[in-house]
Amino acid sequence: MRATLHKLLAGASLVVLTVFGLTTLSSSDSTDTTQVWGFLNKTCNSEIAVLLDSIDDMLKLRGQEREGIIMDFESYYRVAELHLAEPECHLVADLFAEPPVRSFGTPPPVIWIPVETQPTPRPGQPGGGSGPVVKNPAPPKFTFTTEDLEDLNECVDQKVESILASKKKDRKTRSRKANLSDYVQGADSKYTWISQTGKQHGGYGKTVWKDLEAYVFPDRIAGHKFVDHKHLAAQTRLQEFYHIIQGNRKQADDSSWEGPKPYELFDMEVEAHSASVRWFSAIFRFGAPIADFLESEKKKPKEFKANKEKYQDLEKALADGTITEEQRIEMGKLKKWFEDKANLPNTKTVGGTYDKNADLGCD
Amino acid sequence: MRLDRKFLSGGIGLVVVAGAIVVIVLLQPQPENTVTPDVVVQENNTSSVVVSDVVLTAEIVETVKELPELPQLAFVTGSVEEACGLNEYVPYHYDHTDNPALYPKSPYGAEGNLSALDVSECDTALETHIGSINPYLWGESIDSMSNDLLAFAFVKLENPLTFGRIFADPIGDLERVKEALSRPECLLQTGESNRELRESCHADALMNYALLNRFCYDGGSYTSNGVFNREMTIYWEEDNPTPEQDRAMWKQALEGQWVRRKCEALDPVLELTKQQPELFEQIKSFGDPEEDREWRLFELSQRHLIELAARLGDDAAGLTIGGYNHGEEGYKYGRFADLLDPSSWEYITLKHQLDASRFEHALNLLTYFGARRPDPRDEIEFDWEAIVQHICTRVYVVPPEFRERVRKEEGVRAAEAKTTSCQEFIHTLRQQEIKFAPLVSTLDKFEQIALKLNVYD
Repeated sequence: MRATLHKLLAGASLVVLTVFGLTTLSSSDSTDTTQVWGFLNKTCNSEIAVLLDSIDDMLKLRGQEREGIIMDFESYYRVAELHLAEPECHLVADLFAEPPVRSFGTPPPVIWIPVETQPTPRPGQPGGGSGPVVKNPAPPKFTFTTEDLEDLNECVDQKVESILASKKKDRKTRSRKANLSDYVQGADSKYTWISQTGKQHGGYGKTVWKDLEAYVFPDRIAGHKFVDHKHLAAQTRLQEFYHIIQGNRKQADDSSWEGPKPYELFDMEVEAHSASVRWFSAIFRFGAPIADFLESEKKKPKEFKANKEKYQDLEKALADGTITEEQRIEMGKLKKWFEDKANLPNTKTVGGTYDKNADLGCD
Repeated sequence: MRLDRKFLSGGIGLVVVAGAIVVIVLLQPQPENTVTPDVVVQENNTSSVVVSDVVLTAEIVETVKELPELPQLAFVTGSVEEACGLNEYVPYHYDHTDNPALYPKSPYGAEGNLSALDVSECDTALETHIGSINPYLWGESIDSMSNDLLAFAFVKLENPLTFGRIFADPIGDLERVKEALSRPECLLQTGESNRELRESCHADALMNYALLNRFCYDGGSYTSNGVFNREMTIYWEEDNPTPEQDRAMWKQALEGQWVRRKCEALDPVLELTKQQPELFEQIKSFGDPEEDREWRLFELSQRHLIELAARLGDDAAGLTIGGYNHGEEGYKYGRFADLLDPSSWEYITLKHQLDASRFEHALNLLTYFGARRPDPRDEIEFDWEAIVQHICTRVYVVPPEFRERVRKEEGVRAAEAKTTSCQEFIHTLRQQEIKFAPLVSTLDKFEQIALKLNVYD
């Protein structure tokens, strides 16, 4: 199933990419691995639309017949862009022009509808003529300063403390305590929390273990159209907090530790995001905005095991001083493979038990 | 009032409801030192008193109710109702057991057996009717079924799961199960799935055999039997069931008894737990002993078979989500894993928090999962009528006696859901000028079906 659902990185996947300096890659669109909706006209609104796992798949299917219809794709939407206010309707013809250089970061979780977008036919007439252009106002700015972040931290800390200190023995309290059993109060005491505005690569936050800094990116959070932005900020904060705990654990074992091995990233992301979902509902009493991983998304790519073994062999050679230049190049390639968003776990969508209108109780 | 509950079927059910109706009349004022009896509702839903050590001044009067006449209903020719002569039956709750003259007006014979099944027209009609029923949905209603069953209601399958499929070739299924489980490539490990093996490893036979055992046997405990455990709708006598409701209860009894009789006629070698010891041992070994220690082995074996069927690509097995009666979670291993993941499925199925935003997201998910795909085997065909019926029927079914609990457990919103309509949601989305053609298409389809089903507003 992994191959059938498009993969997007959870907010904290950015952490690893940024920490390792992997912020921008050049990539031809034709080698992209994310899902697309292919259309048979140039305006992304033909009656026939096909969901494809990649642009490559679209190009492979192009020209073939399915149920009497020639799949002559002329335009496409990237699924990863459908949550944007103005998702671009890409032309297939452009794929055959010069490959563009594309920013490669950590997109936010996918939401499948461009609710307020391009001109096209009136509802009910897919493929009809173009209609008036409706320009909707830009999404409201999410104002969330570092001071707001500190207030949120304080609120979360108080809530956690209150839950853990509760003398109640009912099932729900016991469950909430159990879900917070790995919440290490004060784990972030040495860290600086920063709410950083402006365009950021990747997701909703990042943790830089080496510099003892944890970030939340309100402008990226504001781009999500289907959640309350403060809710998402709170979940991001929890996820980054878990990354801090992970870093503390590693440093407790090895004081020289500055970051994970490339093949450790996958498990760290799964762990951190799952913790954020679990903690969120325990602390705020409603479901987290971004859902936990699907079972299929927790599975590592099939090449993972072999690549990890190869990388570990190369690490040994590096430590022994026997590594060759060729092996160094191979090691770099493997590192990129582990850091590639297609090979990392990804969240899919808004959580099924999430309630956008719920109150965090942190005002 | 309509109550859904588990109920003994067939003859047992009749015995329960046919208990003597006793009217207790307290004639005298109670002395101060007597204990006021607690009126309780018993299994047969008649009133009685809890008698304590203190003697009550009471007179017990037994009454025999007269046979009420029910109007004749118009039934379709060839239907179970018509073929089995349901119009001739006594009212469902009427106790006729002491009056042999009334046996012809009952599906039961003097021996207490369901003699109506001996009439070939009735037997044939039931075979046709039950043959098309999905065992998981037997007795269920789209308005009140639980989320774990809605998968079967919402997704159309190329090879639908029906009793007809299960009873088509049970011996052949057993042979295919044995053959599949003797081949290492079919014994997928935990976490593995391979739908390419669906045909060669007889995934459908694994599913059929598991369910045959569930419905035809009980592993030594009658409460584990699928016929016993099925959902039944019983209308209480004091609520004066309509003639249609009354006949529907008889039909349920006939359905249950027909399946029991069908099972009795099967070759006994089909019983996994008692007749197939080697196979049973092998299937038991599929699970994690730690994880499975609390499962009864009878049920556990079915769960293992069904989950293996899902790993091997049987779509019906891939729609099982666990739930109240069944532990199997085949959904984790089949092609519906992402659709049925709680993060998606709860959005589509949970109604008590439904608002325009949630409705919109549910439509997104349905658009995405129902998309045309390069490989048709990846496509999911939805039963849109069932989906629309479910989403647009605004009733959040909470029986009054559970409302307080629901309020506590799920919040006030659950119990006091706003009475909005699909029309309102659709109108809200239309105002947003949605331009994403696949979603517009879904919205149009949804609206048309809501209008057709008369659940739009």
